[in-house]
Amino acid sequence: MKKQQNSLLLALRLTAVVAVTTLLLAVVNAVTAPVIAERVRREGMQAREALIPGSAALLSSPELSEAEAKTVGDIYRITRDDAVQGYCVDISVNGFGGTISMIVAVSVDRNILGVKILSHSETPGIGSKAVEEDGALLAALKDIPVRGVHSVEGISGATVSSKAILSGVLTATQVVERLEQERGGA
Amino acid sequence: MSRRQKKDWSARQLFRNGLLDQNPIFGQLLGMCSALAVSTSVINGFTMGLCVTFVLTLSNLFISLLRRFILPQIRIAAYIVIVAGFVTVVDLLLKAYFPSLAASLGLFIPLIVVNCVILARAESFASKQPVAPSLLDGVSMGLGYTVAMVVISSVRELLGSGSFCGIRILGDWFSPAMLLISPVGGFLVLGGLMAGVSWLKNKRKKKE
Repeated sequence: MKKQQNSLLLALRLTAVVAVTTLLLAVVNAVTAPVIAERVRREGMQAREALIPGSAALLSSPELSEAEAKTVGDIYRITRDDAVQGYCVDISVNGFGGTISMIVAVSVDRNILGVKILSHSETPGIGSKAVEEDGALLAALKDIPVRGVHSVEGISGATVSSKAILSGVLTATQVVERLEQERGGA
Repeated sequence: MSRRQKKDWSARQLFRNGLLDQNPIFGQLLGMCSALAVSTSVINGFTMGLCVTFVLTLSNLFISLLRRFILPQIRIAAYIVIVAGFVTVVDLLLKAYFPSLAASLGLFIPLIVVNCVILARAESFASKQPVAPSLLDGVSMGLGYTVAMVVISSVRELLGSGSFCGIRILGDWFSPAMLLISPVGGFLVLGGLMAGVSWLKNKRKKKE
């Protein structure tokens, strides 16, 4: 009997500690959540605006294959003066050190306008060469026709990271190609 | 019930412990994982140190306050919950107000939960000592960790990228030793510095 009481006491005390901690976190989260959401939204918006100027509209439930759904996130259709300029596709791929998330901008005339890396965890100084803002890979992926992706070469020493980015860009172009065909047909 | 050690903890002794004699990294060899991973630049190392100090101080304070409430059988679980709570607070605050730091420290902030410096101080100090010394112990151990992080990351950033706090100070004649930024370089620098600290300590001991 005494033993039971003892374990009940243990459970109650541990529950009390957990409850108070949870309460603290709920308060902090309530304060920071809107700030974080706003920041993420603004960063995405700035990145898209820099790639294709215009007003962005989030496409609701675009049709994606199972493989595409793994890498493709939000897709925005960018319009300016009532004319569709292109698309910004959020892509997450597995690099060498974890997920690389980026925005790929493809114009309606099937050009890749640019790639913006939002976050990555590639090895500093080695794999990170592929994701550098002013690096050779992102420069090669700026203002080129979609067909040109196949001839873009990876950065030596950063093969895995380069291939991941290129495959993500390729997926984005395929999705945009389909979206454009659907739009043209409709 | 609890065999409390009746010891007089002077603030001076506590700070000496944290910064030098029992420095978490060079003396107790605790928290190595984060020390190696984050010390690639001074800013990262310093911020990581401050985050650990913040968590360590608060967790020491609360664990000491609750040292009679938390029964021995559930202590580890309770400590982890308390530490994880404060770490999540730090993580959320960094993400909300210092996004660039949060991005560069990444996974290592949540991992402070299992940073053994914090559990070690909770278990070996805060759970047995009154509130005031526990608080001071948290601050001094945290500062000791921060100082060690700044020293390690200064060496790595200076020799590995030729800069300090992100500002390039070594001229073009210097070709950075990329090795030191990589994990291998982290081990080498840490080992070298540890040897240096031990050598200094031994030298002082001989004198006394």
